[in-house]
Amino acid sequence: MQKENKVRISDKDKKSLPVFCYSIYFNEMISREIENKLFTYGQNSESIYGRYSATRPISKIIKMENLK
Amino acid sequence: MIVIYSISTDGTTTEVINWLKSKTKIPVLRINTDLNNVAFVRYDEQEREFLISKNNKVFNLFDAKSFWYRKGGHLYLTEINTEIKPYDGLYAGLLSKLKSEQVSLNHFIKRFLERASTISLGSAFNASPNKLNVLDIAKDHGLATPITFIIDNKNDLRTKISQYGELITKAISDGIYLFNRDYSFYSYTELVNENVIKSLPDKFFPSLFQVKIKKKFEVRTFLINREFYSMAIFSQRNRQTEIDFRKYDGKKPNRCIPFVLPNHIKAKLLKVAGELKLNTGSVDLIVDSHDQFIFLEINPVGQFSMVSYPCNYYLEEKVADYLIP
Repeated sequence: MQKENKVRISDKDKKSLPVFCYSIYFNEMISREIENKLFTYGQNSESIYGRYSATRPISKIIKMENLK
Repeated sequence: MIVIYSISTDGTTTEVINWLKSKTKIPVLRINTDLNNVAFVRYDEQEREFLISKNNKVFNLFDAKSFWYRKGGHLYLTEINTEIKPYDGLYAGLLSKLKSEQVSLNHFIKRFLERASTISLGSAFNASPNKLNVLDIAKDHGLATPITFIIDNKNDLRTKISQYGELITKAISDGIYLFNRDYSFYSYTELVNENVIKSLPDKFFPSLFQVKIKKKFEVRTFLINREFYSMAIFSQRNRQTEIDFRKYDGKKPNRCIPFVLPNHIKAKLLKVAGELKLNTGSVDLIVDSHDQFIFLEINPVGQFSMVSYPCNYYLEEKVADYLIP
C-alpha cells in the first residue's frame, strides 16, 4: 500500500458530507525535479508513464532513498 | 486508420498500440484528451472530409475503420477567447455558449467515430453508468446484488446495523481521486459498524450503504467480444484489503489467480452489458461463503492490465486483435 495519511474531517464538516468522505487519504506528491529523474518523456512528449497532465503531479509511490 | 481516444499517460493504450504496430501497417491515430495538441480543421460531409490536426499533421476522420474509446474527456479543439466582452450582461452567457458549442463538437466527433468505424470498442457516452441503475439492471437479469440503502441519519443507520450487521459505504458516483501540486487524495470502500457510528453526526449527506458480504474471494473480470477474462482475488484474509482490495498491501500482496466464471453468470453479465450497450468493461463480483456470485459494479473504462498481467491473458494483444479491421 502506498504511504497514505488520513484527512481530518471536522465534526461540523461531517454534517455536510456523505459518510464515505469521512475517510479521505492523501499522499505527498513528488517534485518535478525528482519526477524527471524517474520518467522518460518521448520526443513527442507522449510519456509512457508519468504525470497525468502538465498540471497534475504524481504521487510519492517510489522510495525516495533509491534515488539518492 | 485506427483511432484511439485515451490520455497521454495510459500505459495500457501504449501497450495496445505496440501490439497493433507489430501486427498491422494500418496507421493508428492516438488522441490524448489531456494534451492540447489536437485542433479542429474542417467538417464537410459532401467532400467526405472531417479534418482534425494533431501536432500540426492533418487526419481525416472519414478514414477511420476502427475506433476504441479507451478513456478521456473533451478536447480543446479551438481556443476560446475569454477577452470578448461585448456587453456585461451577455458576457457570462456567451462564454458558456462557446463552451457548449465546443462540447457539442466533441460529442459529434466521438459519435461520428463510433458510427463511421466498422469496428467500435467502448463508448464515451456510457463510460460512467449510474451505479444504482446498474444494480437494478443486474437484479432484473437475475444476478444477486448487495442489499443497498441510501441513508442520511444515524438513527436509520443504527437500525440497519442492528438488523443486518456490519455495512460498507462508498460513493454513489465515483470515489474521490483528486490531485493538486502538493497532494493527491483518495477514498475507498469503508466499513461501517457500531464503532464507526459513534463518530457520526445525527444527520449527514445522503450516503450509500450496503450490507457487508462475508466473502470467499473477489472476482474481477474483463469483457471483450462477448468473452470474459476473470481473476480471483483472495483479499478477504488481509485486514488491510478485506473491505477494498485497492488498499494494496505491498508487503503481503493478495493472491490473484486466473478464474473461469460459471456459464450462467456469464450469460447474465452479457445481458447486463447488452442493456447498458457495452461491448467492453470490467466487472467486479464477490463470491460469498455460500458460493453465491454477487454483482458489485461494472466499469466500462476500468483498468484491465491488473487482470492481464497476473493471469497471463495478454488482454492488450486481444484488444489489438479486436481493433484490426
